[in-house]
Amino acid sequence: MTASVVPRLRIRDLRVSANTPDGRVQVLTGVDLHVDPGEILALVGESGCGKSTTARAVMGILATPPLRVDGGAIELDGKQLLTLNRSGLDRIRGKSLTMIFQDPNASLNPVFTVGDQMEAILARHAPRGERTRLGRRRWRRAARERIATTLRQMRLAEPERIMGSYPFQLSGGMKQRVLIAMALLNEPSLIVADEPGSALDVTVEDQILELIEAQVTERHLSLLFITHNLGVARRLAQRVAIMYAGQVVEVAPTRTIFERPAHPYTRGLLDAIPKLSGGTTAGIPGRMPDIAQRPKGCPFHPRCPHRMDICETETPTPVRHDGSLVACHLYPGSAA
Amino acid sequence: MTAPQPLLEVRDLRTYFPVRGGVLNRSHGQVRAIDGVSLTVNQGETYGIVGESGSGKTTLGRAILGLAPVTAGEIRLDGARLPDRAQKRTAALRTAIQPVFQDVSNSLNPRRTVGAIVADPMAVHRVGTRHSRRTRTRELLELVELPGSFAERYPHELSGGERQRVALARALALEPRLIVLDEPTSALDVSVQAKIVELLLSVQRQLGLTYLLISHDLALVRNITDRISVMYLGRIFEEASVAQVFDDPRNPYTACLLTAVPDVDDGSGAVRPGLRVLPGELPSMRQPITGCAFLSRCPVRADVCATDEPPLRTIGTGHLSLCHFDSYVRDPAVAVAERGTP
Repeated sequence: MTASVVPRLRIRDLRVSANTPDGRVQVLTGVDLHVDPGEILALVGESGCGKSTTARAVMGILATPPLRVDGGAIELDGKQLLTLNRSGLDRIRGKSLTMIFQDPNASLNPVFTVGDQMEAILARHAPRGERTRLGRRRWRRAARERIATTLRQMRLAEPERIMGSYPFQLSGGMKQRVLIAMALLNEPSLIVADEPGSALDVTVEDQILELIEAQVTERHLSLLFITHNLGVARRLAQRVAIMYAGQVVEVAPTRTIFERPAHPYTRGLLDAIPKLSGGTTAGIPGRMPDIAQRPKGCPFHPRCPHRMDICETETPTPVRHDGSLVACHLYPGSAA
Repeated sequence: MTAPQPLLEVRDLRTYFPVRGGVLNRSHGQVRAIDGVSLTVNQGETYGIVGESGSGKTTLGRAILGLAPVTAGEIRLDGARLPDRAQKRTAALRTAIQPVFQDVSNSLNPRRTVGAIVADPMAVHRVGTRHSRRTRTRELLELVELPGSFAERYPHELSGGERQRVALARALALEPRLIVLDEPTSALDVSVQAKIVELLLSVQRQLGLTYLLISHDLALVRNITDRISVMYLGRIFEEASVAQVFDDPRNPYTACLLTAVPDVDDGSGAVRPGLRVLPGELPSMRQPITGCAFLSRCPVRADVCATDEPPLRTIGTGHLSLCHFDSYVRDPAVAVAERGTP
């Protein structure tokens, strides 16, 4: 069991709500997750399931208002993140906790060179007094060297040229690599990645995923990888968590998710995805519930082929079943 | 079986866009978006065009619709040559080919009701009376499995999947023969995607339609098309039946694409050639390319590839590949020797 390991990230009963014209709406209804040291956890779901909200809550960058954390806890290496004040969070964020965003164009500043933007990251988290001790010029030279080394590790040839470039002078794949370099620059222990590479072509995305995989292994990092693509999750992650309508419905090792999916929604998703080997696909009837009108009981029950009476009234609690942690009334299992 | 009837024929199509700039806004170069594409789409089949961004697949679809300029080459429907521009095509020719675009939020007028949107093509082409158009609109909505009451709704009230159904109903309004589907499901979530695919197939069966499906999603293309072309930098790199392309890909670019796709189903039958593109940059589309267009990223290139442009040639029954070699699995020296130095 993994119980002996202190997880790098632990999310407990995270509840987030949004202020809307129709009143408060629950966006996350109690998310429980953990990421172990050196592990890649893929958080998978369709749009509106709350996967990006979970990522943003971990980073402390929820748009508040309208969003608000109503309860629960987020711990990084045992340290509470939600109770930290701004300056406490700023010491962690960008240092031991970093994020890779999906859209490189929106996350790089168009009016500064890549080198200047990366130098600012190092300057922000430089140990107290380091800059005065070394002197501005020497500190800067050391910083530039460190940036060049990191860029080279991203398999970017000519790091000096890239440092002197503005984002518009780089291709999409290069910008994505720069973002990864930025996330790695301060040697974090946990990276939250929100669909990196998904805006790119498959051949380039493939290279980006390979790079992320290699860096995570090499640096023994933990990665919370947000994606809507189960194929990407299969390729990268050791464990996969499936989200639906603001909650995690199933968590299991990657093999288990793909070979013996337990939750009817997970099965439906797998059946809906076209496969390279061919075969027919079947969609899930109905549509994603509007979170403002989340169904009572299990949120998936209106679309579920195994619906029972209990599903309409009671929200299932996650139970262990055949290697999965699954929130479904089909499985009596032992409470987790 | 009857011999396949060609519906759409594209012959050596080229679309070059001028690159303008400078004080006088003079043209100083061309982007070769489509650089000599030929293909035949048969009556009743689903023909797929796959490629990454910049491959020219969308421009090709638009040229067929008469929405992109044609620099050279020709497009034929039922053997008759189509004027390049939609404006020059007769009403009958324009109704014969209809589009369904990817971005439904931009292709449906937000200020008009679904009923008006679906009836619009009929009104423009003066088909029927106002009353008969209304009846027909209901029928079309029923065909795409939407309740008739949706006619009163506005696009913003619909989900992405429902909007794509409306777009399909509109495309069907004039009883077209060919529908150009440009990434019809890629803006949708997978559970919705599968429903739209089911609908497309059932509508095709009911109406005997021909589809030209443009997509970057290889798995989707595998599931619903009969024959496909793999495009790269404005050229067709491989054309064959779906089974040939997925079970016996020959072109190195196709092999790279198949390897790169993150699939949920590994092992059982899918060919994973294990070939990866080199991290090189794409060549500029402004200059004519010497040698093979895939040269800079090809993991199995040979000397001949840098100097000679490979022809698109037949390597099996109905199987074409743009490569100097018959397969991506090869010892370059041997293959060149076998064929003789081109």
